[in-house]
Amino acid sequence: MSKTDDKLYETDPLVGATYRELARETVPPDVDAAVLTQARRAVASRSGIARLTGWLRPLAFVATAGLSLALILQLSNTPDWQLPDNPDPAVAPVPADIFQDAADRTAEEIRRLGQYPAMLAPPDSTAATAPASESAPEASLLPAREGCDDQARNSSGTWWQCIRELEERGLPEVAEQELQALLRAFPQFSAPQE
Amino acid sequence: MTWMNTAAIHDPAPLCGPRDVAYARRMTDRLEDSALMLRYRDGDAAAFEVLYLRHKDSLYRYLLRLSMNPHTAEDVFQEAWGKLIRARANYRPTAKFTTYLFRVAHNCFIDHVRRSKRHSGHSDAIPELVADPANEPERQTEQLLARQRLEAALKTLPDEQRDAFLLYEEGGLSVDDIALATGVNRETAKSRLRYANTKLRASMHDADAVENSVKRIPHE
Repeated sequence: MSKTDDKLYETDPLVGATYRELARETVPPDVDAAVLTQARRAVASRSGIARLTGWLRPLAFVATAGLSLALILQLSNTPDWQLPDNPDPAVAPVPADIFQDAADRTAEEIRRLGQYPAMLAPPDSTAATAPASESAPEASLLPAREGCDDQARNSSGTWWQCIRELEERGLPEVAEQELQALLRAFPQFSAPQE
Repeated sequence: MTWMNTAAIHDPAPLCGPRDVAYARRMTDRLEDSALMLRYRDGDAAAFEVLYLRHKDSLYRYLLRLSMNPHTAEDVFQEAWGKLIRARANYRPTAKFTTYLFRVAHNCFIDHVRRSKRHSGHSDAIPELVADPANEPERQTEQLLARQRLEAALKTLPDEQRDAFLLYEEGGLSVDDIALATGVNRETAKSRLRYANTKLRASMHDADAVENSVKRIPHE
């Protein structure tokens, strides 16, 4: 809208002036009172609601701050606590020397006793004599049994046969231990000449 | 929006403390309408009173001449202010306040007409025109006749043209503001205003010509 358009309209003084003389009505007082009362009530009710709900925000802030502080204090009071390098337990690295040490200790015990320790011994002789492929699944988890079993040690001949098999399997140290045990058990035994 | 209006809007100082009522009233008198409305939105009831006093009579006359019925005018008047009060939280000074106010009133009137379906322009519903007793008797008679002619001419206008004329005279709206308030494009608003002005002027000049010719007869 250009100002010129408004000016063109305003150039008729008779209509405008006559209308302004004509239009002198005012709002009835009761209507005035009703509108102003409505306006004041709207503000007052809004203020009341704001007063009632005004404490919620600071309360939420204080509660959040308190919980955060308590969490920080709890964490700081745990001295040796530290986050793992890899938080996923399924892929968490396990020190390799744990199993290695256990295997070494077991082998040493076998070497020392010439047989499995009691805690690792099979529950019965059948299981002990069964091949590894036929034994229980958990037996495969144990170190392979070295040396001769009790059945082989029943006679000097079978024992000697077992010692020869150990040598052929590449276990000369075990074979030597078995031989010493054979000589202790059968002092008159003499190895057959081949 | 002028820079003064922007400054007033962003002034966060409380307007109406217990000890500063008189000072606050003087200060609100200088504030622009949008700033007053924003202060009312923020809880200052005194700002609304100033705003209401500024515009109540012009809005009432607009509705009175638009509806041509005092009762309808009062109902729509209260409804318009009530709507403005309820919608204060969403008020944004994107346009002139009077444009906003008269648009709300215009829409309330349209809704009222649709609801009632009983809207009709009865000329006897508007209070009788009386001459200003401060003037001379002959002058009083001329004023009264002129007002009656304009009143009659206004009633003959189509509703849209009368609406545009009243928005211009009572609301002080420009053609663009009238278009915004009535929901039409600028050319339509301009056309309505021009037709209304032309018809009112023609009817008043015609009446003057008839009156002058009648007055001249006894002297001849």
